[in-house]
Amino acid sequence: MQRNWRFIDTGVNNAFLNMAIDEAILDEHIQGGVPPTLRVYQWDPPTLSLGYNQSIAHDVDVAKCRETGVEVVRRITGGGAVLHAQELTYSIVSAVNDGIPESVAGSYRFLSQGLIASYKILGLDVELKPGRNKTRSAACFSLATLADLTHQGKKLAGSAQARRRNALLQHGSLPIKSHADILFSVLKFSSEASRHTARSAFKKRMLVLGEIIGRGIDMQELKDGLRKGFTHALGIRFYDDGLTAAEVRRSHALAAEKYGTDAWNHRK
Amino acid sequence: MEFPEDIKYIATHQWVKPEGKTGTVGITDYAQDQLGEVVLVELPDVGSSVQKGAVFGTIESVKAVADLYSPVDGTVTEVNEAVYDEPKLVNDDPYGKGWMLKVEMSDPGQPDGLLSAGDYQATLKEE
Repeated sequence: MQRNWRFIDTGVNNAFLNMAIDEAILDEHIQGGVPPTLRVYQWDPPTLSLGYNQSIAHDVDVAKCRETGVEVVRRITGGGAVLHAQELTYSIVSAVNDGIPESVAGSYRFLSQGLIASYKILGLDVELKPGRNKTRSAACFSLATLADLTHQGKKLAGSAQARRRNALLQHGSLPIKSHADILFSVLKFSSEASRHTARSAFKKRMLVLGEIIGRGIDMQELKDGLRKGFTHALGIRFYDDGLTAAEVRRSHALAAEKYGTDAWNHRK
Repeated sequence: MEFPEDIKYIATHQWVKPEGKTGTVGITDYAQDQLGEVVLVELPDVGSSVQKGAVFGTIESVKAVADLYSPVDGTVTEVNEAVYDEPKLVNDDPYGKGWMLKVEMSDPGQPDGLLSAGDYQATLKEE
């Protein structure tokens, strides 16, 4: 595995550009233009991101999203819906070879070591628990599936992957505060009773950093923790960097022509 | 893990079985094992064209979406709709019931230039 990685903090951007930047980094890495990369970022406005194959018509109350100021975007990664509000999102782009296992489960386990070390630095013991329930659900965090990080049996961080050529993109969300009420107000349910049940189950299964650590968490502390965790656990040497001119160009094109369009976001 | 001798492979883990002008396309036993349980497969429409090395569809396993690459150039004449209903066929029988496309190949000789079962397995050992 290449040990010198870029660390890029792109700060706060809208949903379309955020997803476009991840894909631009993936494409540039595949073409040999950039090293492996750990990126951290945030979202404004708050955004509901959907898995690549998720049905927006079936799962999302688009009018309610508009009303509450929640943007909706489709990801190129798998999994279910995630609400990006009061959280830090990370993305990892790397070739799978020479250290990072090629199998989906293996690469999750491998990269999770970095996340586990990051949480430890923040003062939290977490473990990687394989999920048993494989039923598809609209809300990603409702289920602890394949290699999710848990603390006392509750889910902490969710991750999803895309594979292209010999490279992977994994992104995940590290929630700081609970946003279950907003999330379950913008997802569709067959009845208010089922909405209530799903929301209660989610609240029981889901943990957010602020609640467990019992103190406020500074965004910079979280970013530094991630960087140190991946360094300690995986032996990665990070250097601060920004996006290349090619990545910036590609991401703006993808935001305009793909992620900002109904053709993409409403494809299912 | 099985790698039948009567089909041809590409390094991105797809196979083609040529029969006259038609090539049947799917993913390898190794690929399905690396992906884990397949939950959804997205294939092109009949009549669309595919190019060797270009993306023809996607496959989603529990939490990962991967691109699928065509081993040959040609036109899609049939897609295996059974894998829409039962994606796990790709795991259970990747060279049989889990096939994905039938392609009318632009050059029926094209598979001759692809990897044999032995060549393909050699690429896996390097990884």
